[in-house]
Amino acid sequence: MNDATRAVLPSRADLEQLLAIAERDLGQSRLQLLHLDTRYALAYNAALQLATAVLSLHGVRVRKMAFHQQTLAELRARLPEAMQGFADYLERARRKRNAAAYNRVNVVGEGEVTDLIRQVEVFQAWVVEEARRRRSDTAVG
Amino acid sequence: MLRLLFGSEARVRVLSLMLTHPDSEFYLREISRMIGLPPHAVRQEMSRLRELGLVGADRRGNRLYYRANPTCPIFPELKALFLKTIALGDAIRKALEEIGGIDVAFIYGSVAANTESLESDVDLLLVGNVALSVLTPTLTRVEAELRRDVNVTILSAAELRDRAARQEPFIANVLAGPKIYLLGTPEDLRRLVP
Repeated sequence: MNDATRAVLPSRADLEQLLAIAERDLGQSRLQLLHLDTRYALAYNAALQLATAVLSLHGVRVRKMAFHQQTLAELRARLPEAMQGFADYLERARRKRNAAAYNRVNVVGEGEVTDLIRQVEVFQAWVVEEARRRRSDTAVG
Repeated sequence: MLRLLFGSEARVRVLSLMLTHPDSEFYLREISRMIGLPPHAVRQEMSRLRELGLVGADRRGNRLYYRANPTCPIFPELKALFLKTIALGDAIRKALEEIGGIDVAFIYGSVAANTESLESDVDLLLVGNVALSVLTPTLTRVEAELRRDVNVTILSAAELRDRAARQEPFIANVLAGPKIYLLGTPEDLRRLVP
């Protein structure tokens, strides 16, 4: 635990909500009729919810200040070594999503959206499996 | 390449730091720590760069603070040369050599226009077919060395042509603005976007 985080009791209901939000946003990010910037933001948000779910499994929640950045930093610290590059990738996605949301329109390419969706799908499968593996009260499915 | 051209590893390291951080100032031991050279080697190189007018210095207390001098006539060209090679270009080129699929890559925005501030990111446009997830390890390493964020937009050639034809403001500005080419040439870009 550090200044940026607080302890939480892992709750099955909270975890299911986070996974459901991730599922919803990832699903919508695949909708071709939406703007690429929006699809990217949706896929990123799905990843953020999944990252929050991982922290929840560890009994940790990030405080509100710099929530996104801190969540991804805390995620990195809890991912297996082989997956830490994925946290770097998500940090890059966070910055791009910020640029698209606040600074520029059309800053996202189609391949970037496809790549993010594919990466988040893999992460989603890993998080669900991780929740099952822990076999605690928070375990899903 | 630059080591051969400049004849000294120390000179290249010092120049690389100063040229890619034109808004920062550093004292001797700080530079020594940052680039992994003994203080006497840094002092020697700084003295040469001051003679050339590429670096200025300001004494405060018992410390001498060094700072790049962007008003030096050769500063923009030298900065572009370093960004194209050791600071950014070499690392990205090496990664792309292994991956393939990039036709043109260039820096745009404030770094290319020489108007960057301390907080400016390096904006990079890649034209071709490569996934950001594949490039991330290289970019993360480059960012750590450069001490700056590198923001990448990847567009396929068809996507770039389509967006240019629709005159999307972001692409129109990027195409019209100054660029530092890391891969490909202005002619290659013109072939993609006639």
